Amino acid sequence: MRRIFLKGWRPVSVLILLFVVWEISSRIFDIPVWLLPPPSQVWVEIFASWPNYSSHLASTVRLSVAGFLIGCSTGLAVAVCLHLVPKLRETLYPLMILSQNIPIIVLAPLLVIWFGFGLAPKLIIITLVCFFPVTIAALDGFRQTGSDMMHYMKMAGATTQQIFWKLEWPHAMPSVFSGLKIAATYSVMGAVISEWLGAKEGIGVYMTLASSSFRTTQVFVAIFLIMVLSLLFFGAIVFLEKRMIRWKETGEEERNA
Amino acid sequence: MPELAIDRLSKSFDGKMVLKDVTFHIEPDEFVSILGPSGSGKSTLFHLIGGISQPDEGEISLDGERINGKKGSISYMPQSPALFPWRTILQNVLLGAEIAGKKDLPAAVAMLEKAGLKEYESAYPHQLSGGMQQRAAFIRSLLSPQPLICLDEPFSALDEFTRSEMQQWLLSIWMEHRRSILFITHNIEEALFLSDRIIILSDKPANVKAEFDIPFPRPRDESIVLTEEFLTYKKAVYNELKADSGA
Repeated sequence: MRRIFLKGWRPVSVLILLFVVWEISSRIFDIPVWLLPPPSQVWVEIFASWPNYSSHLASTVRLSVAGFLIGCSTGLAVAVCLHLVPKLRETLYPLMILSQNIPIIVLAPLLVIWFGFGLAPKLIIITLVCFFPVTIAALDGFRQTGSDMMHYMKMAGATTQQIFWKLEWPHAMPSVFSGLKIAATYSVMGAVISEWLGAKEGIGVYMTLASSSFRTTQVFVAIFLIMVLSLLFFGAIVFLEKRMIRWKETGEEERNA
Repeated sequence: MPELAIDRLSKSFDGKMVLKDVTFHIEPDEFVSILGPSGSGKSTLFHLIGGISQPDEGEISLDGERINGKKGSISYMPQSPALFPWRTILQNVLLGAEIAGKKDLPAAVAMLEKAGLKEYESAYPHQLSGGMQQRAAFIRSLLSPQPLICLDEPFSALDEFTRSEMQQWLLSIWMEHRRSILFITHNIEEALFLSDRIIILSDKPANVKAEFDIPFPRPRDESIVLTEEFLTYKKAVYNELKADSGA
């Protein structure tokens, strides 16, 4: 607890300072609320309109979790395939990078044309933004296996399968988690973007409605929700990582001590 | 019948001959060291015995069976411990047996206790000192089911004190759990202290140049390294190695 306080006081005070400056300047300069609402008003709105957005929030959470799970499993599966079949990697790697160069904003309407307004195009968008960091991270993890350990495995007569499950897979876990962390935050963003296209509910819908009617305070509420959601997802992955990769975490703690 | 028989083994890389007609054998439960200048193809020899690469010519046989290019027929301890950081020491020492499909947990626990690693059973490798890690790596190769253990300069990264401690330890464990051992080193004293027999390799291309039988009785005490006889052997081996670089 003490450590969190010691490490955290700087960013927290910067954040508080930012809010204070924002609050004061919006009062001094008398900025209209539809242009830039003061943080105090956003804060009040967060609690006041909870019944309005709770269903939207739930819908976005469901969508992002589903998309995240699909995207990450796809990412891992792709990474394993590409790693185990080097020819496949050579063939598909450039294509994978290209898939990331298409702006999602451009792709999204196309997906709607092809798949309609249902769940499918939304999940595809989230999958597209989630799978890439996971695949790249996992591929790097698989490839950067320690040469000493690899040499030992080969001398000991390990089969390709044994090398993969006993060496490459556990070795890649820390980098897979780095990928998962990026994907976790992307998944919320992907979900919101996909909701802009047309959905019945979701934070994206709530945001579009608010901005088109100049209820800027609610737009800020939506931004706040997206941030909190991303942080929660991120935190969940960090928690999982600490539970699963204990061998590495203890090492770092000892070095810090 | 010898445990390991190497018969006229040759190997070249890019037209450069690394091993040339290397012939030697190891008797069951014998401790044989290979001594040679660095870069003399000792590691290549291990790769061939380990089956990672194929010899150009010659035969390698283990217990009378030809093992050219056959992986997993020997147990191996590399220069660096190469313990897996995500496995506890107990899981690590079981790895060799696990790969061969013959896991014996009680034997591993008992062996760790004998080796003085009992308290580290559930520790991760990074929590151990370099010497302790090497001990675990040796236990790992001892617990593998293969009849021959190949050690590739296992103590070269350790400091002098730890090194002599480790040599003593290695001998005591080996006396209890006899195996055939092929030990590669570039340290004359280490080879003399540990081995029944020393094989000296010449410089490129490597060839068996001389063999010394080391008659010191076992169990050996550290003090023998200071005896007249030991020094005489050391001189003889040194001259043999030296003659090579002059040629």
